[in-house]
Amino acid sequence: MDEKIPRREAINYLLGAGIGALGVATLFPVARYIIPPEASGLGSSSVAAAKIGELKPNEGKIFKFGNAPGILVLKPGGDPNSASSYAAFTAVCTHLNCTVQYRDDLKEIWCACHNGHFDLNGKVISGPPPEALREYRVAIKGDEIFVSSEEA
Amino acid sequence: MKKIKLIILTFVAIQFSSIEAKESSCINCHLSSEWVSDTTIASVFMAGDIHRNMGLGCEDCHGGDPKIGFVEGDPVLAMDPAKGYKDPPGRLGVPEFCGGCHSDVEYMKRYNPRLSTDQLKLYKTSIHGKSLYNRKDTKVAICTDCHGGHGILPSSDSRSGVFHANIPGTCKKCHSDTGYMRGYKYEGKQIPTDQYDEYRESIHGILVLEKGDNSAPACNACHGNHGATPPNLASVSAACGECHANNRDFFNGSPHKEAWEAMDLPECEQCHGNHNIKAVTDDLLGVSEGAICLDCHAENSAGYLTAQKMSMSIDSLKYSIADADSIVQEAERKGVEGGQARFDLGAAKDDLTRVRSVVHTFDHQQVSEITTAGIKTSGGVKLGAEAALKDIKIRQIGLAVSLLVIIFVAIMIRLKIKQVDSKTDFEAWSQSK
Amino acid sequence: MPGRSKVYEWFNTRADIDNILKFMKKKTVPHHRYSLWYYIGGMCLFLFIVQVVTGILLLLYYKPTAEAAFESVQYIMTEVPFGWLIRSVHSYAANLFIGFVFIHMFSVFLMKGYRKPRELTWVSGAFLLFIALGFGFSGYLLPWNQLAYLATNVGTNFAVMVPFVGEWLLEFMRGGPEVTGATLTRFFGFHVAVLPGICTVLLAAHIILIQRHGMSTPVSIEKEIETGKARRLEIPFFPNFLYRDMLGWTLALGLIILLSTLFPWELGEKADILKPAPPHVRPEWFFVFMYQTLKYVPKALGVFGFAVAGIIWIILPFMDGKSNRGERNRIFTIIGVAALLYIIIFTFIGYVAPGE
Repeated sequence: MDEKIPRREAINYLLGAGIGALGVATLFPVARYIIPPEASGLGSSSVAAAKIGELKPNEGKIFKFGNAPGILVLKPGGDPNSASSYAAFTAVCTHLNCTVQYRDDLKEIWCACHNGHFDLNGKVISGPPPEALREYRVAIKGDEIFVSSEEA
Repeated sequence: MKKIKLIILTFVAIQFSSIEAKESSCINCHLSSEWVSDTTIASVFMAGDIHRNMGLGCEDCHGGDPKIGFVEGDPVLAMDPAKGYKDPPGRLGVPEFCGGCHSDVEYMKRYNPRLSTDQLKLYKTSIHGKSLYNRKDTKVAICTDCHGGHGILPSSDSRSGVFHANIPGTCKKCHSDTGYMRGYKYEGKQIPTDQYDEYRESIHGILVLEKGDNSAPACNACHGNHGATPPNLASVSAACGECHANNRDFFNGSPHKEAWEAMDLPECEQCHGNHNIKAVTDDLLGVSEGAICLDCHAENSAGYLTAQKMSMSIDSLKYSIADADSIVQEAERKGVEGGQARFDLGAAKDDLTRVRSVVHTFDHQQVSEITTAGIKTSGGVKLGAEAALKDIKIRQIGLAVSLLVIIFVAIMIRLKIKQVDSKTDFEAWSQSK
Repeated sequence: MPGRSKVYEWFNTRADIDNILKFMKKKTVPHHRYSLWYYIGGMCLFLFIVQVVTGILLLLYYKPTAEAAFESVQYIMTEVPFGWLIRSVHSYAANLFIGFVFIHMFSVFLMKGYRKPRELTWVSGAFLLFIALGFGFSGYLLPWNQLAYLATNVGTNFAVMVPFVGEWLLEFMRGGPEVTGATLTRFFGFHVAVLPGICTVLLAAHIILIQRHGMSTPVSIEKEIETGKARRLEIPFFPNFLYRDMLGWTLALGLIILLSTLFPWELGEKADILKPAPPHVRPEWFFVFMYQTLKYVPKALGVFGFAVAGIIWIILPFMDGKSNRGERNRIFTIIGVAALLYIIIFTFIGYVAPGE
């Protein structure tokens, strides 16, 4: 009987430790899960595309919007602090899905693949693209420029 | 009796018009089957002819006096040559008849300042116009064949024969009719009548006819409309280059440009065909079966080798992208974040699209610069995705550790059960019930 | 009593904890050759708690609109740390839960555990089964993928067969004449508010009733004890039975995380209302036997038949007079086995030879 008492205590101890470890193994994923991942607006409806001052007038920038690129342009002569000076579109060309870029010499959005030109309303000026680029809504919050896919 | 009927008819005529209708005895009579055998001319005119909607009446083209009241014998008065009435022009006279106004810049400005006034001039340069005037051949197309006579709609109206998507069907009326086209020759050869059938199956035809895409070319994009002619070789490429600008520029800088000019070969058409242009595939390039390059370049000639190298470069980029894509997909299926990888892979896909245009330089150097960059990008994506898949390994380690803990706990509970059972007096418990 | 803390006493004077503990200490569970089935109910409870916890976690990121639902689940699966695990656990545990609920129900049925005085426990359990199926049906749509969309379309369509209120019921479930984003939002509401609310009340009643009555001993065992062929054996609930319960839960947890890690629950492709339905659309496996049946009988008749069967199933304890008197009732055993075989066979056919 004398041996049984330490054995009983050992089982209790080990069982307690095991349950404790199991608790940690369960709570760790949960704790990690609760904190959302960084650098991403929840889902893909809006994203911080740039900071104020990052773009000079007549300059464009490609940003990641969900899994696809978007393009943010500060229009020539535009005030960097005003949302209306910016224009944002999907950067996926409507022709064959290449990524478009901003051409400061032409003041146009341009697709290098097949020489498609778009104006700063996203409309096709020339080249093969069949449709306009879809426009995104731009808003300024603090010093960040947010782009949202919701209807403007 | 007749008067009452006429009043009713006038009333009907007014009902027809959405805009203020001109009081016109022409319309009143021409809508009445008691006066004319065919009332469709007046009715289609009233139903929405652009001229009528602009406020013009019969007399503005045909002359005469529409304003006389109705008594017996008035038709003669209304259509009195002394009042400027002109007989219908007949097919030979139609272009000049329309051109009377449509070539008049000052007149046209009043109605539509943006409408050009060179249609008649262009028509006279067209194969249709030349045949009409030089050979007095009235079978060729005149204004009314495409635009209609009295129910003329603007080209922006989807019911119009000259609306973008309707143009192929309009040309087809004559050009697909073998009987009608018999005897018409171009450069000594019978003009074929299968253009529409070929076009309908082409990438452009599918876009225009099935998808209603008004940015894709209809017949007139290459042939012109009022000045329609069989285009010469250089002008076809110019037409293609309007949209396919990069390909045109690349081609113009390529060795093919001069060589083909010397051989009097067409440019784009030589490889891509004309009416039956299909969506291109990468198989057109290279030295395998079905590749166009083989039409001219003999085995192991310089051109053959370049074609082979360009094709191989593109293929390796494609494989590289597909490879990276499948690993990214595998990772995503297993719940690993693949958004950044997909985003990055987009750049390699751009390169693939771009290089398919750059092949028109027929310069392997330029092609391989792009494919190398693309392969590097997709290779990086692949490495990234593989690293992400290692994350799965970490998961499996995590799983193994958790399972060990669980099994350990299960064993401990089992031992504990034994232990508590051994201490329990089941008899006493059972008796207590 | 000596050695009790002041905190305990404070609570004891207000909640009579002594009495609860006394009850717990006295609680026993019969032990015989069918005792294994007593653990199934506890397993259901454990899986239900897993569902509540993982469900609440999923709520942190899930968005119940047609535009965002699929993307938000994708986001959970690919970007949120351990999101794949939480969602997969929720999906696997849901299926295990339904499976164990069925096993629980049939084991209770065949052991005649519903007989007097446990009729109400059975009735509450039968309703809990329907609630569980409702959870499964509504939850299946929430990721807004193509399969779920089609299955929901087919599933809700049967509502029109209900006499008089069919059309109304259909619109009530769908939030309109068709399955759309409105349906998704509605199902979300059912899944996370309406059903959990009802479920909590029923579950509480179910568990309290079980505590009041204790586990039922099958008629056959009772007979054996009466005739002296067997001896009555009871084991204490605490801790002997509870440890056995825990052993099962631990193993179930292991199985769930094993499946979730090796085969994360697939998301499929986003629902596209305009896409034509592929042939052989199948509902979730626990509806397949009903779905398959409706292929052989006129739909209205089938739906009516299932409704009647469901009602009979609920009031079954009141019809089984023999068992209530403590006699063996072979007819009811045959009914139970037949129902079980019917479900198994039709589910099997539904997967192997679904027909048109």
